[in-house]
Formats: sequence, structure tokens, C-alpha cells
Amino acid sequence: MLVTAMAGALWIGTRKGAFVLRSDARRRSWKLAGPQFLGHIVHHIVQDPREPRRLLMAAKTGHLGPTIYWSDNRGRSWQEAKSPPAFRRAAAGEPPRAVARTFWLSPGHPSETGTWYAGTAPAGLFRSKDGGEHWVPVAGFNDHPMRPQWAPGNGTPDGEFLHSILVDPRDAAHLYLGISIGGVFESTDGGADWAPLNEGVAADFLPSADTPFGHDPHCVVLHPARPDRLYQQNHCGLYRLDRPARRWLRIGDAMPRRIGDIGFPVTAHPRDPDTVWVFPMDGSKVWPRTCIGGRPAVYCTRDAGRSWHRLDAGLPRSQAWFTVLRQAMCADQAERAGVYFGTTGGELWASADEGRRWRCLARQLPEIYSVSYAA
Amino acid sequence: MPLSAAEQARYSRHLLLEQIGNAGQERLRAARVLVVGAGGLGSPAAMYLAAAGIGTLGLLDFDRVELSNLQRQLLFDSSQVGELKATVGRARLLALNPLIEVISHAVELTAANASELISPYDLVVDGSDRLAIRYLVNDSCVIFGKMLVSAAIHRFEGQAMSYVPGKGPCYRCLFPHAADDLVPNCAEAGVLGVLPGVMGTIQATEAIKLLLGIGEPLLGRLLTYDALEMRYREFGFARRTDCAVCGDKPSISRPGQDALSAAPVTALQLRDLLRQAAAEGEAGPLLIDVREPREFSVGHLHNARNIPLGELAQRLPELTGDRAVVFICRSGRRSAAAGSMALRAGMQHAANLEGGMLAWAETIDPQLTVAPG
Amino acid sequence: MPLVVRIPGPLRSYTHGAGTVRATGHTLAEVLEDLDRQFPGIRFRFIDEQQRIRPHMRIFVNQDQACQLDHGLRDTDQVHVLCALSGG
Repeated sequence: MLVTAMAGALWIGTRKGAFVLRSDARRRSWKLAGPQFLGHIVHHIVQDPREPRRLLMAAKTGHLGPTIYWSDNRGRSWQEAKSPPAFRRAAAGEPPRAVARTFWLSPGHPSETGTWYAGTAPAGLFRSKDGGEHWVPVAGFNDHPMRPQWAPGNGTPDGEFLHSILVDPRDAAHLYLGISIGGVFESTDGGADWAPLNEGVAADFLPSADTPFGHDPHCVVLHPARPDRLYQQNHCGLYRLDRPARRWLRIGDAMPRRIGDIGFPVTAHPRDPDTVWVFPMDGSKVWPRTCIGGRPAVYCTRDAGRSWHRLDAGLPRSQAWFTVLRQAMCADQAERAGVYFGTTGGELWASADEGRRWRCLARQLPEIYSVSYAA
Repeated sequence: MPLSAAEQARYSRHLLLEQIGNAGQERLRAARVLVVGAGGLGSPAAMYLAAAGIGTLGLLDFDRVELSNLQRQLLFDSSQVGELKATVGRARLLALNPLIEVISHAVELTAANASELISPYDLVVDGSDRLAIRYLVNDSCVIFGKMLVSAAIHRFEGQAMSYVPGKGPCYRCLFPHAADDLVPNCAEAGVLGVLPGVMGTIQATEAIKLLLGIGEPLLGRLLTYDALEMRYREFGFARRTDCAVCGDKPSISRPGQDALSAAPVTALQLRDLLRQAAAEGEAGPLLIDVREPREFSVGHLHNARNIPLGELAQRLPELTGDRAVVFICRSGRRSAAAGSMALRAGMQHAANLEGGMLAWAETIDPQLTVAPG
Repeated sequence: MPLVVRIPGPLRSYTHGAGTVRATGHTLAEVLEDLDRQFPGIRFRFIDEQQRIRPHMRIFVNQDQACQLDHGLRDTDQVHVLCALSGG
């Protein structure tokens, strides 16, 4: 859908609550509202593209168990899910697993209104069929015989988690997901069975280059304009995969050497399958995870990764040590796509012209975990 | 040594109490108490302990006085904003009672210095504001055999308990896990200013009772206070035979050792653990370097054993035993994979060095040569 | 006859601010189920899906710690749900 411009909202999940920046139709003037759920850790806030008034939020509060909130009035008020994601009861002799946090939320296929997916830490996949009120484990993944190998973590804080749950817009049964230090996995039968999809992806920390799993994807996107195409920002590089091929191509090799192809997020253009934006970070030596040399920049490709362009007009020139987490960058659907990112230092930056120029919309927010656009 | 005339005059109200008297006051004078944290709890606790004549009082805090502290930390005043708490706190306590000795420790309590800092004292009053320090203090008191009075506050509620080695349960018996520090502390959540005044004074009361051996201290008793309802409640808890630090088979025999049950350990944490072990003549954690032999030969940690990652799966049985294991590699990724592998195989304590040898070289030992990947 | 259940600060958003509520049951499990019926969602915040009391939460019956959910209760017992504090 081609949209010249629209009033929209950026939902910002932070370590201390949820904030929202609402814009006018021309995206010139933005108003910050919030916090809602002050003091709660908000991991992800996502709008339902099938029912735009509905949003879901994944949150955690201090010592209390993790939960999900939903809104059906564009985020003005929220209700708690009746059954948040929870693993099934462990059988005798089985190690017990409890959801420590829900990390990732993805709306389901356009034809399945009310269906949502959630990814958790420890790594688990959950599905709701009623707009996020009740959640059940997806046994095909959580109880897959290989799961203990793919995701052995047993709940160490900030250990493994499941993210990047992708639904093929052409086929509700075709799903992908990512697991940190686990890899990318694919299902073609609605989640009943899964297989690794990591060929060609480097895992410098593993003994062999040919291991089928154990890789560390940071963020994987399925291009909305060409669902056979996936982009992956991995701990060890930036990749593209065009199905039905199974081998990822390291498009990060085309990034300038001193910039490298390490980062957390990768964001797809709403319409052009050859365009994605990334936020390179320093992955050298001890992994500072900040932008290289203290000079923040977004990099963009318009030819599916053959070449990359630096976009930093308006961003600070020096001594600006930004870290942008994997869920903290997004794009809107306007004709000239707006691109947005939030930093762990609490700044929200926006471009109204596909990354050419940037301005800061908000400062001094708490540590930003996620930024997502709601039309 | 009998009380001087000055002491008799100052402590006369104590001397009149049958449960204290001259003998009791002399015991207080001989006592050595460390107050950890000169904040909301530590301020009133230290003041009352100084007033009571505790002969040697240690004040441990590495922070500086901030304006927002003055809502509740009565040890300081407006002219002292920006000063080191341990220093100006000491001066205030001595002005209150020049007959005692006050030692200021303007340092952060860590696993490495816990022994050196806590050993000279008889009793610790914990007024820290972070879970991690609370567990470190608890574990240190159990390990070094010190009495402990622990309290905590949040908004309008307070909790307190006491511990005497061998005479009751410790804090871990009640709350075994040290989860990630996601709980808001007072700086983030707000607190009724007078609340720590009540709880800190309760701590001082408990400390004096324990030193004098009078009354019924909060051993195996958790006291809770709700300031809004103005109600005190009490809950009993027992020593757990499986307590990680005071149980029958403790897995924590050294402060900070609980860091090894979680997956990543920083270079600084590992260095502290190795130093402690060396100081005590013990073996310390088992260091397993999972890099290739040629990388290992270029430079590795002292006493590290080389088991390349590719061989680890078959050689895991070599690693069973009582010693905790720390996996090491160049940047931390292979060692994280090794840790996962070990956990999969059922190992309980498989930590890995965060940032690997590169982090070690960066933060601890720049002379160390790390083989390129 | 419902018994008294004390609710810690962080969970009072479920009980409309009340620190003391009442719930029925002959065991701790039953009382917590009734509590969850009255205040939906509260139970999962301190009991996980493996029926374990979450780290840093504790349940006491009168003054004694209750570690098992099948702990038997009398009408006159008081159930206290506690959250570890850490401020100083």
C-alpha cells in the first residue's frame, strides 16, 4: 500500500517502561507521551497489522513473573493477558523450564486474525489465537527432540532467547525463527517440525565451519516485498538468503573494511526488496558494541548488499557512543520511508527520507530496548 | 580495663540497666562492628552504635553525599554534598562520640577484598542497597564466622534478620537465589525517608543485643515492618541443609564464588577469585582454555588447561569433580559454546570468561599476548 | 470460611491496592487458586509454570515458611506472600 504520509506512532520499549511518540501526518512534529508501566521492563511493543487498534506488549517487573499486556484502543489503555506464555509442566526426570521473559512478539499470518507468536528466554515458542489473551506452547519446537541441542540453555539470565519469528505472507504454515547461539530454523508445517537453516553463516566461535546449528543470529527479517528473500544480521556478519536456496550469502563482505558487518538490527524497506538498513557496531577485541570510532552511522544497501552507503547526516560527528539493540530500529510505510532507531543511551533518532538526514526526537529516555512503528 | 570517668558519665544510662552495667559496656567497648553502606540504613545504625560506645566502628561506603540523600541519611548535612561519605561520616561519628575509634573504608566491597575488610570485625551491619552486595556480605559472614544484622527497605516496607554462626539460618536459607539485579533500588523507586531510620535503628538494637548476649535476637526470624499500616510482623525460617553457603555441603566456600554458577564471569571477577584462592592456598576454579593448541601456546592464563573445543565433547568426563570450571577462549564465543555444551551434558557449574583472553588482556594484563583468531 | 491472605506491595495492583484479602481453601494450592479467581493473573506473578515459588518470593503460613503448595491450612491460618526487598 503506497502511502504518501500518515500520522503514526513509534512505540518505545525501555528498561523502565513504555513510551510513545505520536506524529502529525507529515511526520514533522512529534509528541512524546508516557511512561506507561513505569518501572516495568518493556521488551517489545507491536501493533497488529490486521487490526490496527490492537497492540501487544511484553513486559517484566522486578521479581514478578513475566507477562503480556494488550490494548485495543491504540495503546491508550492496557489489559493483562489471562495466560501469559508458560512452558508445560515438566515430566518426571525432565529439567523444568520457566519463562524468564517474553522477548519477542510477532503477529501471525494476515489470514489468521488474532494469531500471534511469542519468543522467550529460555528459548521457547508460543502461540496465541485470541489476540494475545491466552498463550500455549508450540510443542513442535519446545518439545522437538533436537531442541536441547539447538537451545540447551536452562534459564541463565540473558542467556539464550528466541527472536525474529517470521511468518511467510503467502503461507501461514511457513515460519522462521532465530535463537541466540542456536541459529535460524524453519518450519513448513505450522511449527510442528523444524529444521536448521544456517549454511554459509560463519560462527567463528565454533570449532567447525560446517556445524548445522549453534550460530548466533542477532536479527532476521523476511522482506515484506519479496518473501523469498531473508536478510540476517548475525554476530559474525551480515547475510542474505534467496529461497529456495539454503546457503546464506555474506553481503557484509561488501561493507567498508574499517566498518565491518557486525551489528544488532537489520530493517527492511517497506517496498524495495533490495533495500535494507543496518547499524554497524564495533565487534572488535572485547566487543564494545558501540558505533565505530564514536561516529554513529546507519548503512544502507539498495542493491541487495552488493554495495553499501553511509548515512549519517545530522548524527553526531564524534564522541557519540551509540548502541542500538536488535529490536530498536524500524521503518514506516510512507512513500519516502521513515527510518527510526533508539539507543541504549535513551535517544530516539528519526529520518523522514530513507536515512539521508537524521534528527533526534527524544533524549534522556531510559535504556531503549525496542522501537516499532504503528500506523 | 575498667571504664574511665568520662565513659561512666557518657554511658550512665546504659550502666543503670541491669542487662548492661559496667561489664556490658566494657563488652561494647571491646567490640568491633563494620557498617556496610553509609546510606539510609547505615546512617542511623552507625550513629546509634557510636552513641552506644562500640569501641571500633568501621564505616564502608565508596559513594559521595548527594542532595537527595539528605531526605533520610542523617549522618550528613547540607554542607557536605559532594564529600566522601566514609570520610565525613567518620568525622560526624567522632564528633558524636570521641571516645571510640572509627575507621573509614571508602572502597567498594568486592569478592576480592571481602576477607581483608570483614575479618577484623566481630559483627557486620548490612545497610547495602544492592542484592549482589547483600549476598556477598551474607556469604562472607558465614564463611568468616561473623555475626550479621541484615535489613532492607523498599518504599514503605522494611525487613530485618540476624545471623550468628552456627546458631541459625543465614539470608540464603530464606532467599537462596541471587537473580539479576532488576529490582529497583531507592534511587529509582522512591522510599519514605524515615523508613530506613526505623530499620537502621532496629539493626543497631540487634547488634547491641548480640554483642551483649541479651534478649532474643532475630535468629531464624524475619521481621517485617509496614510503615503505612504501622504494623510489625514476624516470620520464622529454618536453616536449609542444602543452603549453598551454610548448608551441609556448601558450594560457596569463598565470597563471590556464586558468580561461577551463572554462565559468564568477567575478567575482574575471575581475577578476584583466583587471587583469593591463591591467598588461601586452595586450588580455585579449573580453567579450561578451549582454543587450538597453537593459540594456547602463544599466551594463556597461568594454570589453564588446554582442551580444544572440538575435543571437549569427548573429554567432558575429565572435568567432573568438585572444582567449578571456567571456560576460556579468545573472545568469549567459543567458551560460551563450551559452557552450553557442558550444561547440556549435565554439569552444574560451567562458567565462561566474558570477552575471553582479549578482555583479560584489556582489563587485567596488557602484557599478555593473545593469538589472533 | 475464607482465610486472610497478605499481599506484598508489588502485587497490590491486582487487588485494587488492598494489602489484606481473603481466599478459601484447605491447602495453599487451593487458596492460591481462589486468589487467582478473584484477582486474575496474580498467581503466575509469584508461582511459575512448574508450580515453583519464584526466586525472591516467599510464602509463610502464620509465621512458618511454606515451601510446598499442598501445605494444609486451617480456617484460622494466615497466608503471607512476601517479596524480598533490597533497598538500603
